[in-house]
Parts: sequence; C-alpha cells; structure tokens
Amino acid sequence: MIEFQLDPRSGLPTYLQLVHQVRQALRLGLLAPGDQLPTAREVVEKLAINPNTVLKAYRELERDGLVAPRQGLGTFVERSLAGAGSAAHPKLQRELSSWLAAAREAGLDLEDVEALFRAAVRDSFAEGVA
Amino acid sequence: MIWVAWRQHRIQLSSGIAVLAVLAIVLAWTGHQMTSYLHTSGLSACLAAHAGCDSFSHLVENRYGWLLRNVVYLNFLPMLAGVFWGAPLVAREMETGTCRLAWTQSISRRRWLAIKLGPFGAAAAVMAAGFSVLLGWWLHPFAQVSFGNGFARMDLNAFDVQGIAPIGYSLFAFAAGTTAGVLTRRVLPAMAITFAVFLPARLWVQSLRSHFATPLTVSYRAFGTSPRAGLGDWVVHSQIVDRLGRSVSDLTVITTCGIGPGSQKANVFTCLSAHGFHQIDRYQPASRFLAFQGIETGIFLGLAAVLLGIAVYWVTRRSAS
Amino acid sequence: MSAIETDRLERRYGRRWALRDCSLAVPAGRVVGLVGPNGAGKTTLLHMAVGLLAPTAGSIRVLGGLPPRERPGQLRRVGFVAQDKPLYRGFRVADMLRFGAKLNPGWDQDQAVQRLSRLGIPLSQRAGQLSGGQQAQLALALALGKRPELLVLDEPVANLDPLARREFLQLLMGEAAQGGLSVVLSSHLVADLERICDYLILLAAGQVQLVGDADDLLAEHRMFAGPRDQAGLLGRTHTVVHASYTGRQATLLVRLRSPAPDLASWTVRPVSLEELVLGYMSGPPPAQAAPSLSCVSEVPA
Repeated sequence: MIEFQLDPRSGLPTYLQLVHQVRQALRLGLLAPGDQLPTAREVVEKLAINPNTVLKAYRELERDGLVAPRQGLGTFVERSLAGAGSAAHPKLQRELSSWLAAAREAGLDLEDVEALFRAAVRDSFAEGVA
Repeated sequence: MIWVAWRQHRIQLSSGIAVLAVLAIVLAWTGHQMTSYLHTSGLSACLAAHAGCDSFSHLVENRYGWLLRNVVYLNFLPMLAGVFWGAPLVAREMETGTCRLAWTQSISRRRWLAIKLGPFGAAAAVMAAGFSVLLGWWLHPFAQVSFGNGFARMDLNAFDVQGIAPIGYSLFAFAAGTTAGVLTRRVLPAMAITFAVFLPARLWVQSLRSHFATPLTVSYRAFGTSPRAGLGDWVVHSQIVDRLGRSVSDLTVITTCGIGPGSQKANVFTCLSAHGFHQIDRYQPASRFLAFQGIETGIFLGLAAVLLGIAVYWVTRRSAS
Repeated sequence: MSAIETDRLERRYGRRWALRDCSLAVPAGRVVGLVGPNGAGKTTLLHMAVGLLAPTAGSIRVLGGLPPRERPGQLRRVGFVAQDKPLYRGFRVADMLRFGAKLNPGWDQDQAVQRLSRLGIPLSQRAGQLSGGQQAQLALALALGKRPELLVLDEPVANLDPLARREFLQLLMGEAAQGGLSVVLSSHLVADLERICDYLILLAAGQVQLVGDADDLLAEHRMFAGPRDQAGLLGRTHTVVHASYTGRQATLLVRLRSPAPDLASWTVRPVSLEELVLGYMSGPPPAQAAPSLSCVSEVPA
C-alpha cells in the first residue's frame, strides 16, 4: 500500500501531489496492477486534508486509465507505467551517464547541469504541445 | 433525563438536604427536651387547670425562652432554597458557558429548564412540608404560653413556620433565585438579589396578613385580662378607648385614674367606669388559621408562578450571546 | 441542498452591528472555512446557524429547513462545538457520553465509545482533568454522537498545540470522508484551514468579503509584481483587490475577469489561501496610488 506525503512548500496543488506520487510509485514498480490504493478515509486520517482532494486525485488517475474503482471494495490499480524504468532503456541510461561525465569534466557544477537539463526539457516538450 | 439534572446538581441537592436533616434532628431533640421540661416544671398541669401560671411560665421562659423566641430565624430557611438552589441553577451554566453545550443538544430549552426545575422544586416543597410538620409539633405544647409574644398557631412567626405557608415561601424563594439567575447570568449577583428580594416580600405580605379578613373585636376592662385569653387568637391591635370611642393612651389613663403601686382597686375601677375607659382588642380568631394559610400561600405561589413565567420566557425566547 | 443559506442576515446589539447584509448559500457535503479577524462576526453567524442566537433582520435556513431557533427539532441534525469547548468539568468522560445519550435520541453510544478508546481517552477520567487536545476531541465526539448532518465548530483548534491540532483535524477529516456530513469551522488563522477547506467564507467587520469554492478562488486570483507607474493598466481590465508599493515596485493582488494577461514587465504567480485572505482583509490600496487606480471600487471598505 502506498503511503502519501505532502510537501506544503512545493507550490503544487495537493491533489496533483497525490497524483504524481501514484504515478511515481507505478513507475518504480512499488504499485502493480491489482494493488489497492488507500481509501479516502485512510489518507485524510493520516494527512488531515480534505477528502474531496483525495477523490479529485483518484478521479484524475481514473481518467488516465491508471486506476479504477470497484464498487464497495475500493480503488485498484488497473495498469502499470512500465517503460520508464531504467531497466527498460539501458542504452539511454548509458548515454545519459556519459553525457554527465563529459559535462562535469567541462567544469559544470550541479546547478549548471540542472539548468541546462531543464531548458532542454522545456524546449523539447514544448514543441510537442499544440 | 432526570439523571442529567441529578448528576449536575447532586452535590447541591444532597448537601442541602443533609444540612436540613441535621437541623431537623436538632429540632426534634430540643423539642423533646422542652416538652418534657414543660411537664416536669408543672406548667402543663397548671395550664390544664386554667390557673394563674405566671410563676411556672417564668421557669420555662428562663430555661427555653431564648430558643422559642429564636424560632423566628427559621424564617430564613425557605430563602436558602432560592439562594443555594435557585440562583445557581441556570446562572452557573450561563457563567461557565455550558449553556452553549446544553442548548445545542436535541431537546428544546423549555424542556431543559423543566428538567432542571423539577427535582429542586419538588425537593424544596417536600422539605418545607417536612419542616412545617416538625415545627407544628415543636410549637404545639406552647400554644397557650406567652413570653411577650404568643406561640399559638395564629400568632406572628408561629404562623409562618407551620401549615402550608412554608411551601409557598420556599417555592417563591426558589423561583426568585432561578429568575434572578436567568436575568443576571451570574451566580453571586443572583444570590444577592434573591436575599434582597425575599425579606421585603415576606415582610410586606406579613403586614397585609391582618387585613386578609376584617378583624373581630372584643372589649373588656382596661388593663384587664381578655375574656378570650388562651383561645389562640392573634391580637392584631389592642388599645384603650373612652366612652365615646376615642383612643386614649395608656399614660393618660394611668395618670387620670391614679393607677400605681399604692392605688386602691375599688377607686381605680370606679374611675375607669366613670370615664368609660375600656380595652378594645382587634383580633383574628384561631378558626381562621386555615383560611389565612391558604391566602398567604396562594399569594406566594402566585408570585412564584409569575417569576417562573418570566424565567421560562427569558430562557426560551431570548438569545444566548 | 445548501448546508446553510442566509438572506440579508443581520444581527445587531443596540447600535452596534455584529453581522450585516450576509447572503450566502453554503453547499452541503463540503468542509467550509469561515475566516476572519477576531470580532468579525464569525461566532455570531455560527450561533445563528445552531440556534443559540436569533437574527435581528434577514433570514437563515439550515439543511433546507428552518433554523434550530425556530424549530428545535432541527437540533438533532446539527452538531456544535462551541468556542473553548465547554464541558462539565466535574463529569467523568463516561458521564459526558451519558449526558449526550440522554439528551439526543439519535445517539450512537458504541461509536462514541470506540472513538474515544481509539484516542486513548479513559472513560473514568474527569473532563476537567483531560489535556486541551483531549477535551477538544471529547467535545467533538459529543457533537458527532448524535450523527448530525451538519457539524459546526467555532475555533476548534485555537489554543491547541501543533500535535493536538493535527490529531483533531485528522479525526475531523476522517469523519468528513465517510460522507453525508457538512462541516463548517471558523478560525482566525488561515493556516489551520488551508489544508482542509474546500469552500471559503471570509468575514471582516461584520460583512462577507469573499465567498466561494477554494480551488475556484485560487484559480481566479494572481499576484502581480511590476513597475508602479503601470499599475493602473491592470486595474482597467481586472479587479485589483489589494496593492502595496515599495519604491518603484508595485505588488498587486488581482482578481481576474478574463484569462491572465501576459504582460512583459510583470511577473505573475499564483496566490496561497493566506495571501488571498490577507489581501481581502487589508482593505483598499493606499491613497498614494497613481490616479488611474481609481477603478478599485470593488475593494470592500
């Protein structure tokens, strides 16, 4: 069972944080199809957040086809987000590691690398959006 | 539902009853002592023989006069029902804010108030009735005795502690205390107001008592003994009047007819009849005891009802904050 | 159905207004936060909803019916935790539950006992000897014991330490998650309410300043920072709720009337609930604004 955490300073709406944590768990294989997500009550009793927030998050996940409610039983994982794990893309993983080694050798520190990376991601993904 | 009232006020109720129980025991014990002394001193035998009992009277007066005269302080007992039971009843909840808890449960405020009033009202009435019976028993042997003031049922202060009047006084005091608490919302001011209201009310109605019915009159020789002595009347007013019915002061009669240590009885009597001086007593006979009790109790129960009506109105219609 | 509906509700004491011109329709099934400074009229509004106070003008309806003041039967559907959580200090916890059972026909004793034992509150302890957090939870258990449809709480977590506050809110949200319950709670601290409320009412000086779905309100407002001499431009197309100036920079809390503009010299960011509340409570922007800012007429006095 996944355990949710909240970062009040992240600037992200609470329900999105929950959605991201489920997606992340799916990617890492911590959640597999057939696993049950905690009930809204369990989540709010731990985090002291509004129950509608949890329901909103679960609805979004349901819209993406990742989870589905089963009447009277709870909300269950429908499919995984496999394909993003490092095991599935060893070539990309290796290329990334060598690029990082080259960048560090060129004198870039952690913040430089992150700034470069973020700019590249933004440009790349922005092109994909209509 | 009664459980709630009991649980909230059980200390008040039981401590009040305990104090009264102790008082009752004291009264029972002293009553027993006094009654036996009445016999051993010979006063009771003397009274039965309708002889002149002054010397026997003095014996009893010396020994127990103070106790009998102090029975008047028992008139404060009904007031305690108002000060200690009535005043905190609602005021305490308003003072501590627990009325916000009590009034948002599922019962109406009228019902809530009724639940509170019931046990205490009943206890006050029962206690008052009990003390009335006890004091009736306590005073009964002394009905024909007089130490300046009489102790017959009709006499002032003896009247107040017997019959059904104490029930009226207690319920009035309780209602006054409760209503004072509702209006002031504070316990101590409510207690003070109850004290300040009870005494004047009692004294005022007591002053009206002689007018409940037109007093009867009896006349007899000035400074003499009334032919109705020992019949348990309440002599409301006694004065000497002359032949024309004009009021005459005792001093005038004394000086006019030369009444003093060395005077001759025959001369005094002649003088008195010559001037037509005679004593007029206005009195309420003992036979009117029950009627007067009814009137006085009715007045106080009426006042209690009005006060409780105000309390109920204030609690149910007025707001909490 | 609205949990609480008011129509020009008013309450005054002599010449002083505690609440005026209050018209709301609070939806059911939400967790509603009533925010405002002390003396804003929050307690007055809540007391009118639970039947402790009667309006001097206007009307209020609760759960689709008359307020408990006029229909005591409604008391069964409304649970209330008053400010400072009044309890009978001399009663034991078990006595308090019995009190609730005797005075409420719909009482669920088993659930109440279970709730308290889960929290570790002993039934034989005197209410006056419980900690502040435990008293709050006992007061909550009492209000929930009659299984109400509407739960009203007046500053429930004021004076509680952070741990007690967290535990109380966890309990409260757990109850809300079960469904069928509308919750209205007041606080003068927005931080208390930010995580748990999905509907907001902002009260100040006896009047409603802001009301609406929390997410919608946050989506409608932005914080703009930019050059002071251009502040008037924004005011023409949107509502400036609050403005503050330092030197040549202006920071404006803006309510969007249309999609957020993309102005070159301005940075835009979303607002937090706290900034939103502070902005509305702070009143109109200071008078040294540029003349073209005269259109901030929607800012409440």
